[in-house]
Amino acid sequence: MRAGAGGSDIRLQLLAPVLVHQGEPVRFTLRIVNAGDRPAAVYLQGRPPAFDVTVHDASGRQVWRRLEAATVAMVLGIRELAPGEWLEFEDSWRQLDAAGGPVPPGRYRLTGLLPGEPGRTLRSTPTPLEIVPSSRTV
Amino acid sequence: MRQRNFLHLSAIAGLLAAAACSDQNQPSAPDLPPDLARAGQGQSNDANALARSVPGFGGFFYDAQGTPTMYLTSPAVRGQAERALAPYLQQHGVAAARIRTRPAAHSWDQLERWHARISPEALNVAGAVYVDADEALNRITVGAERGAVGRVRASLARLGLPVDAVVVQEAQPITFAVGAPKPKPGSGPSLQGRVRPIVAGVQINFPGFLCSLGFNISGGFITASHCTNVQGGNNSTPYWQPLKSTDPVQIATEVADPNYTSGGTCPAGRRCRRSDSAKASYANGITSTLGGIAQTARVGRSLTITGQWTVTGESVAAVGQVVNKVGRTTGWSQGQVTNTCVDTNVSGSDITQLCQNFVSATVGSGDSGSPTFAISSGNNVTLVGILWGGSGSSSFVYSPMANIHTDLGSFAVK
Repeated sequence: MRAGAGGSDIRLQLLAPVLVHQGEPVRFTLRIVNAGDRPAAVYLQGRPPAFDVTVHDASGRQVWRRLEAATVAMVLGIRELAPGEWLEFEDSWRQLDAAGGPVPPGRYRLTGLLPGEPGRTLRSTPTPLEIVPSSRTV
Repeated sequence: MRQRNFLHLSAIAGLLAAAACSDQNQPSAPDLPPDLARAGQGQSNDANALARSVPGFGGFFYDAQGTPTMYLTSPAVRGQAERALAPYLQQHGVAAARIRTRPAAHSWDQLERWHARISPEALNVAGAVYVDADEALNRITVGAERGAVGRVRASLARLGLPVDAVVVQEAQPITFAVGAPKPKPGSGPSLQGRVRPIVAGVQINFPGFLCSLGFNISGGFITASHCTNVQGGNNSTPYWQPLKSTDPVQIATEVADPNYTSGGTCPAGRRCRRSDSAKASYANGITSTLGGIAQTARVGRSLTITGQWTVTGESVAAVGQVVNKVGRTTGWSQGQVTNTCVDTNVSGSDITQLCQNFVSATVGSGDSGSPTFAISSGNNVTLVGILWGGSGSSSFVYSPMANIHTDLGSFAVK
């Protein structure tokens, strides 16, 4: 076993659609992959594991965060992933901003975060998302 | 006290790889609902429990400057309130004359009744975060995500409560800890290393997880219920210290962890308990120090053990009081109690922890189970509970000692 979360072998990927209609829940999957050729440990906060996703609008303003205000059990889980093995977490964003209102059509960025040991939070590459008016055909 | 409710999203985790408020049994409050009567942390040193029966008493707390403060609806009842608080004041070395008073709009007894009505209602609103009979505000405070404030207000409007009785406010966002030292299992006198005799605050390992040891009892120890193979229900979880991989001798086995149950004041669709605690029994030949808590040199993230705190008893912390914790991830933390007797939903689960306390202090993953205590003098401390959760890295939640006794029965801590 080598590299923990944040190490060179563990990758965090956020899988989400690139185009959705306004008001349509945006389903996403956070995937933690051991991209190396040896077993690697991943450290997971909480039980069940806590995972986070943020949504920023085109101006860079954060409009939503999945774990906002959540209380998480402070247990530290350790999972060993074989080469090529992955863990997935799924959820959806209802296209509501932090104030509870619907967000307007436009371009957004989704980013996945996986807290583990302090200082070892994994972060995915931001994923672009375009929300189009519900009348428009995609 | 306050209640928290959180995003209840259908998160799933799957391995898809190839392989894979007071034990308020006080005669002075006989008309409380049975569940509420059991709800608090009613020990003789719980200020609000002691004075609840005084007409016009509206709550006791320490203000930002550490000044003991109480709300009274009339200055005329000060003497009566002081007499009711006497056991608490004596235990904490507080002169009654030091107590400042503030005019109360509501009695503590009334706030607790509203709390009991609001909690089930608010916890069913998506985005509601907590409900608190707030002794520092003499109001019910309801926390909600920014987007949920309107919905929460609408739900509360149906209850017909006085407008000035409830404050709905935005809850603080979560942030993540950074900059902690890397773990050095087995590397010496460290909270993450091998420690014998075993003291509280050190790392323990059970299959797949790391936690902290809460405190020793005769022949065993207390840690968090979610620091067992299954949260709720005895599963004979094996424990190692610090890690099975570095010391494969099993140190203890889980022996008590009551089931989580529904009904009563437990919000619909959820399972509740009054503490996130479980009991383990040490294996033959494993040495431990009853009343010993690992001490590091200073508040902060040093994990090096430099001495020991000595547990001299148990106590109840009031809002504003400074408490401490020692845990395997973030070491010794210290901060003020911000809320007491909060009903708290645990993120991503159907579990609600009833009547928990919140502290503004550092926490990190693996600190679950940490002993939480008040320093009385020198190295002497009194246990106030065990840590089990956090909201971000700067606020932790603990189960008070009275609630742990409710769930696990009697035990000696010194």
